[in-house]
Amino acid sequence: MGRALIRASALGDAEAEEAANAPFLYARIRARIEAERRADERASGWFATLAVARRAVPALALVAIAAAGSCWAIRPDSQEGPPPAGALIEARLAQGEPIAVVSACSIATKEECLVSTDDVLALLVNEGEQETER
Amino acid sequence: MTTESQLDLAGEAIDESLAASARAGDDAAFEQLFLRHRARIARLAGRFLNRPDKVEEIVQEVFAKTYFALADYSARSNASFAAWLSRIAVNACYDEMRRARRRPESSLNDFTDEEVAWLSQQLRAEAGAADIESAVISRDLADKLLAQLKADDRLVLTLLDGEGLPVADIAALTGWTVSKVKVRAHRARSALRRVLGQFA
Repeated sequence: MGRALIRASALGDAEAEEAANAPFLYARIRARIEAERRADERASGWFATLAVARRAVPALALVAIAAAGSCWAIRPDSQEGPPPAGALIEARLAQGEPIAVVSACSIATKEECLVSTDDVLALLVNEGEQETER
Repeated sequence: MTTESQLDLAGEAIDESLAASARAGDDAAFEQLFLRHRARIARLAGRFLNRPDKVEEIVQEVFAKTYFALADYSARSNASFAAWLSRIAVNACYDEMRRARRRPESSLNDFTDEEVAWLSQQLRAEAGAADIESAVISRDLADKLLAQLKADDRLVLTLLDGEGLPVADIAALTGWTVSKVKVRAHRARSALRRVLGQFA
C-alpha cells in the first residue's frame, strides 16, 4: 500500500513535462537570477555600510555616555576632589617649600602644578604685598 | 561499451562543456543546459509535489541556484553535471516539503467520509484504482496521507519506492550516509504504517 501511495501521489510525467515547457519559464528564471544578483550587489555596496553604521552608532553612543560620565565623576569642583591649585601653592609658599616649574609638571594631572593665569597673578600680588609689609 | 552508455558519456561531455562556458559568463550555454535538463528536473520534482505550479516553482528555483553554484561545480570532484543538478533539485524539493509541513494545509480531520471509506476499502482489499477518476481521488488522498509524514521520511520513501533508486544513489543525492538512508527508510515505513493504521 505504501508504494502505491507514493506512486499515486506523484504528478504524471506528462504533466511534469508540461510544467517544464511553460511559456516564459526561462525568462522568469533569468529575472530571478538578475534580482538575486542585484540584491547581492546592494548587500556589498553602501547598504552594507549603512547597516554597519546602524549597529555602530548605538555602540559609539554608549561609549560617549560612559566617557562623559567619567569626566563628570572626576570634575574639579567635586567636594571630594583635590583642593584648588592656588590654595595649594599658597600653602607651599607659606611653608617655604619649592614649587615645581610648569615645564616639569605633568599636564595630565590636576595637582598643584596646574595653575591658571589668575592664580599666578594673585600669587604675585600677594608676594608683593607681603614684601611691602616686611 | 553499449550504445546507451556511449550516449550517456557523450551527453556528459556536452554538459561539462556547456557548464564551463556558462561559468565563464556565456548565457546562451546556460540556456542550453536549462533546455537539456528541464524536463528531467520537472519529472523529479513531480515525484514530491503533485501540483504543476509547484513543480514550475521548483524548476525555477533549481536553475537559479544552479546559475550561482556553477562556480563551485567541478567535473573532477562531482560525479556528473546531471547528478549534481539532481542533488540540487532533491534539496529544493526537501526544503519545500519542510516549508509545507510548517504551514499544514490539511490534517487528519480534513479527510472526507468518502476518502476514509475509499482508504479503508483499499486497505482491506489491497486493490489499486483502475480508472482515471479514482486515480485523481487517489492522488489527492495519497498526498494528504503522505503530508502526515516528516519531510525526511517522505523524501526517502519517494526516492526508494517512487523513483526505485538504490540506497547508494539516494545517499549520493541527499548527502546522507548509506546507513542513515537505511535507518530513515525503516523509520519512514513504520511512520507510514502508523498513519494508515488509523483508517484500517
